Amino acid sequence: MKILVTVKRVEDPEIKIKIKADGSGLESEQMKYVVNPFDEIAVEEALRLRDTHEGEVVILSLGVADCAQQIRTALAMGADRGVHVLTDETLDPTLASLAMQKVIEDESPDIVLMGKQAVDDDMGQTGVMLAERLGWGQASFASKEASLESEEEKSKQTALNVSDNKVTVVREVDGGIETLCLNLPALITTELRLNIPRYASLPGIMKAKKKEIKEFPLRDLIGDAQPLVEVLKMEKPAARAAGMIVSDVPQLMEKLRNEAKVI
Amino acid sequence: MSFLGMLRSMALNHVERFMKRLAPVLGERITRDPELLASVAGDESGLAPQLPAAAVWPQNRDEVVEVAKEAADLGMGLIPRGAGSGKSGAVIPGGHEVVVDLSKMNRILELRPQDLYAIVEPGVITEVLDQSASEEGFMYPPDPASKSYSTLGGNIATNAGGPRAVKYGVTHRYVWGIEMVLPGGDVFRTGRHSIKGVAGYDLTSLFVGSEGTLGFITQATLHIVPAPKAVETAFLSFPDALSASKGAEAVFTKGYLPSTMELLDHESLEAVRAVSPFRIPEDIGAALLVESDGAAEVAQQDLYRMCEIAGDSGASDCVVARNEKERQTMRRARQLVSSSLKEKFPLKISDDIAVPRSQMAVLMEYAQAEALKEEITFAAYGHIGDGNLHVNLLCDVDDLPKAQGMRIKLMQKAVRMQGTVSGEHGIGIHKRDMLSIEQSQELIDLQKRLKKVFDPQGLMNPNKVF
Repeated sequence: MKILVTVKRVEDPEIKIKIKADGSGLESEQMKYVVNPFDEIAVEEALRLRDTHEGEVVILSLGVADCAQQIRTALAMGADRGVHVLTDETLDPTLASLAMQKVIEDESPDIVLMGKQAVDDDMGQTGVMLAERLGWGQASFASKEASLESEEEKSKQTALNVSDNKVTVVREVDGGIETLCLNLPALITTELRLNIPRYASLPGIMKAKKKEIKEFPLRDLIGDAQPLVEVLKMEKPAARAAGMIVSDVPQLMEKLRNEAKVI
Repeated sequence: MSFLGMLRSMALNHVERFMKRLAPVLGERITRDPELLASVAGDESGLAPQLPAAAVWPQNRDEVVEVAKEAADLGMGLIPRGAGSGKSGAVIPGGHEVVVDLSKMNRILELRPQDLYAIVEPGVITEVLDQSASEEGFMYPPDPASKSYSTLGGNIATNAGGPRAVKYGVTHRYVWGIEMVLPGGDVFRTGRHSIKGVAGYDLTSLFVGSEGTLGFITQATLHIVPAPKAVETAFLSFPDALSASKGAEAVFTKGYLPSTMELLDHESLEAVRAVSPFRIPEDIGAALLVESDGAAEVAQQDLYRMCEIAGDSGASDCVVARNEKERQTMRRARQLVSSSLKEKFPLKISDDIAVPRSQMAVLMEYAQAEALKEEITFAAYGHIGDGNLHVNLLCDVDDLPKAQGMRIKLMQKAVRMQGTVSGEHGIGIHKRDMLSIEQSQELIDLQKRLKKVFDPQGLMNPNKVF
C-alpha cells in the first residue's frame, strides 16, 4: 500500500510571533519552523498503516527551500521518501490543493493523509478541496474511540482499518463519533485524538539524510493559476480594556446595560 | 525568672520596640502575625520551618536601610530572604530574628543589551530577567531548576548554578556589581558597568555566595549575553547510571562542550515517569539530557556528534526534540525529578557534592557501593557535566542516623577526590557541620574575621554557614 502524507512548514507555536511593521506578514528573523502538529499525527498514522500492510510512505510539502527540513523530520520518523514542490509564493488552499492534485495524480497513492488544518492560518480547507479535485471519497477529522492512554495506543495499533480495498474511519462530529467506510483511493484528514506521534530518533535522523527528496518548481505543475484568497494585512487584535471591580449588583447591571451594552 | 527567661523577655521587648519604630515607615509590611510569619519560616531543604520574631517586606533601598539601622540599634538578628527556594536552610530562622523578605523589590531598573548588562532589584524572578533579555535577543544564563520562582537576590546570595552552567558558568560570572546595605544602614556600591574592572578588592564576589551573612543586596548589575541562535536537545537512554556517566565523560574528552549535560538515574526516572510530559522509555536504567547551542547548523551537528559519542558507551535509544514544545517536555522531565522524589519518599535528604568532572563515574560507583552496603535507597541526578551530583538518600525516619553516616562518607569521598561538600546549594544549616570536612579551622576562622568587618555585631543571618 502506498500512502502519501502532506506536511506543512509552520511557525513554531511555542515561539512568540512578530508582525512585520508594514503588516504584510510575519517577521521571519529569529522565527523557528516546525511540522504542523496535525500533520505529524498524519505521518504517525501512515507509518502504522505501512508497518501493518507493507508498502511505502511518501511525504509531500509545498514551500520555500527550507521546507526540506520539515520533510526530513517526517523521514526521520520513518517515512520512505519525499516530494518537495518549491515556491517562495504564499499559497492559498486553492493553489495548494491544485499543486497537491498534480503530484498525487503522478504518484497515485492508495491513501492521502493530512492534518485537518494547519496551526498557522487555521483555514482547514486544503484537505476537502483536494478530495474534490481528485474526485475521491474523503473522511475529515479522523479520530478513534480508544483513549490516547489506552493499551491499543501504546502498542501503536492503527486506528484506520483497511481491508478489501476499503478503509473504515472513525471521525469526530458534533456530539459524538461517526464511522465511515470509503473505497480506496481515499483522502483522510486527522484530528488530535487519533494518535501520539513518535519521537524522532538519532538513527532515524541519520537515515533520513540519505533518503530521496524529489523537487518540482511550483509553476511547472500549476501553470499560471492564481490564488482566490490574498492576505491584505496582518495586525494584532486590539488590546483589551482593563477590567474593573464593581461594588454591588445594581452597579454591575447598570454597567452591563449602559457601558458594555450586552443586556 | 530564670536567666534564659529574662533574656527571652528582653528579646520580646526589643521586638516590640522594633515594631513600634518601623510601623510608621512600613505600615502593613511589618508583622508579627503567626499566619504571615509562617510564609517566611522555611525553604526547600526539607528542614523544619521555624517562625521568626517578626517579618518585614521593604519596597526599596531606603526601607532596607531603616530596617538595618533599627535592628543594629536593638541588636536584632536579620535574615535576608528571596523566594525561599534554597536547599540548605540558610533562610530558616533560629526564632529571634527578623526576616527581611526582599521579594517586593522586583523591578528591572535598566536593561542595556548594547552594554551587556541589566540592573535589577533583588526580588526579580530569575526567569523574568531571562525572558526580558530574550525579547532583545539576549539571555541571562544562570538557570537553577527553580528559576520560574527563585529571585535573583537569592541566586546571588547562593551563587546558584543550573543546567546551563556546564557551558556558561554559575551566577558569580554574571554579577558585575552590587549595592549592599550593611547592618547599621551603611550603603555601598561595588563593581562597575564595564565588562572589565580590577580596581580594589573584588567585594562583589565576596557577597556572591555569602548566604546573607554579610549584608543585604539591594541592587545588582548583572551581565547578559547574546542568546544563541539555536538550541538542540536530545534524551539518551542507557541501561545504567555508570554507562551514562561514562558516555558523558567521553563527550568532554573528545573536546565537545554541551550547553547542558544532565543525568537521571533509575530511581529518578521511575519517580518522574508518572508526571513527566516527556514519554520516558520503558525499561531504562539511566538517561542523559544533552543540549547544544550556537548557530543553527553547528548546534545540530554538535548535538548529533555528542549523542553518537555518548551513545557508544551503551545507549539504547536517543531521541532528538523536533520543536520547542518537545524540548520543554524533555527539560520538564529533569526539572520535576526533585519534587516527584519528594512525593514518593517520606524522607529525602538532598546533597550536592561535586568532584572533578572526570571522576564522576568513580563517585557514582562509590555511592552505589555504599548505598548497597548500608541498604539505603538513593537517587542520583543532576549536572553531570559539572561533576555536580545530586545524591538524594531516600529513607524512613528510622534510617536517619544511617543516612547521616552515609552523607558524611560521600562528602569525605568527594573532598578526597579534590571536590566539594556543596557544588551549588550552599552550606546554610544543612551542611554547617560538614564545612570542616572540606575547610581547615584556620580558613573557617579567617572567614569569621572577615564577616566581623561587615557585621561586627553578628546580626546578619546568625548561626548560618559557620
